[in-house]
Amino acid sequence: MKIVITGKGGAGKTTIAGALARHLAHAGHAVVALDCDPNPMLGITLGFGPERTEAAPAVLNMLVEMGHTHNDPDPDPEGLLGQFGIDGPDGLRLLTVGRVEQLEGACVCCGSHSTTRKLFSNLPHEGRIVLADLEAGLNDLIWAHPGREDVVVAVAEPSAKGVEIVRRACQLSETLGVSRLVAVANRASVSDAENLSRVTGVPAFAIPEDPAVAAADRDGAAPYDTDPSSPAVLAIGELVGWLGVPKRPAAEQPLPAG
Amino acid sequence: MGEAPSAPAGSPSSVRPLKVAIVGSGGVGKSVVSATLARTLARRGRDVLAVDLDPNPGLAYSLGLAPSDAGLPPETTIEVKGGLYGWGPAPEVDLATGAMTLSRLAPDGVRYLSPGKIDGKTVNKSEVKRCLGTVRLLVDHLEAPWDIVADLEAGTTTPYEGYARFAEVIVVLATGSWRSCLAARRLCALLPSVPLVVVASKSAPGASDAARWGLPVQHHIPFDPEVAAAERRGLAPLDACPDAPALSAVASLADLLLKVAP
Repeated sequence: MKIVITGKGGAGKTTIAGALARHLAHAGHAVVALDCDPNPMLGITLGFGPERTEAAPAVLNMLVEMGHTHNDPDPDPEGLLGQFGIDGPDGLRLLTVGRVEQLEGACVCCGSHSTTRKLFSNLPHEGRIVLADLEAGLNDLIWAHPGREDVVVAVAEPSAKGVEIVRRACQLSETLGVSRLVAVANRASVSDAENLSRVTGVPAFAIPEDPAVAAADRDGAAPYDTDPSSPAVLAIGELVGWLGVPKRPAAEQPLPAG
Repeated sequence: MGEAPSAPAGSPSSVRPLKVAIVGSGGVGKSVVSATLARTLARRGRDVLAVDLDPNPGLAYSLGLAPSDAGLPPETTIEVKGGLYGWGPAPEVDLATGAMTLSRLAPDGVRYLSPGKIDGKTVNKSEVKRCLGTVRLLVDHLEAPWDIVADLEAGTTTPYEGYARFAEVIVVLATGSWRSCLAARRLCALLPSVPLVVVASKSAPGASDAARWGLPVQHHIPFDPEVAAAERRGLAPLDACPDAPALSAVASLADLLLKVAP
């Protein structure tokens, strides 16, 4: 199955994506985490640490370095995962889509968006969970183009702007044919989630404000590692039950060697 | 100047305009700071154009303006094949003043220019490209002595795509969080000129955390629960909590910007 995490900037997408991927991997699922933000940070909340996160090769940058352009025939996504993915806890694998490193690049017209599109659309997902943490805002959701079989998790802090962006993300996902949508009210109460559900028309799940997550955010650490039994990390574990993830992992497809 | 809005009487025509772009990671307060800065400058009698360069809704809320998804009317834009942004103003729109004529009035006399918003009903990317390209070209070419305060989209893509070409000062905004400071450091390394680094704390202490993460903080906007409450409700802080301490800190940021602007 494939999951995308979307929402306003600062809503908590990356924090939730990181802990969600760790919960899924710990439960025995083969997880591929796609960091689709060209300002990549998912490695931090997955627990890779700052150095490995910064050093992780980015697919778009590597392709450009190798002389590819966006007009090339699609490179084999499984091969890219094998070549550029990095291994984390419980068999989890992180693939960084792109990283803005300089002001001039070969693919200014589409940046990392089209690479996101190709990887999210074409990466085989039978027997594994592909979880994509998108760039802030609605544009990357349009590019990722989730479909009928995919799950969209739209995250909002309880602010008017955050709720409005999630409302639009849900509408957009429905336009794209996505049938399984979950809204998440982050750093929020149950009544905030009820309000979010009312506004979006989709089920909404509350993740509470949590000093342990705030402390991990301040220090650049993964909440799943610093305090796995904190209320927000436990809530993200419960969120798994809302996504329609198979109870027991399907026949596992071995991840390609790094 | 054609049909451009005329400058208010008594406005000093020799004032050197301030051209500032605000960048940073998502959720660091770019829209709140942009909107408050724009209105603060306008209250001092300056002519201010607030430019919304984010196709996601945000800046209008913080300005206290009814949000609208409307972009530029189709008859005001024209495709420019091979042009810098792919689109530009139609021949009837004056390149030097179009940024003002196509803007709408916001509180305190600020003019608000928006490229329209992704409304969620369609997945049409070309509409965003049409309006955003034209807005960017017009802002680059604005000749009137108006201040420009531009609110950019979250992350590091906007400087990469040259969204701040018009700006003479770039403000990099962060909170105290490690990740927002990493994004700010990445932005500082990417930007063509030395930016002004500002920390807007989302919790105490904020500024000392940012310094700990290697960010050369030049101005600090303190955590302010009243501003947070206004954000929750989607109100402009200058209307909801005019006496909040964070707003005085934005006023001092205006002083600082006027001092450091070339």
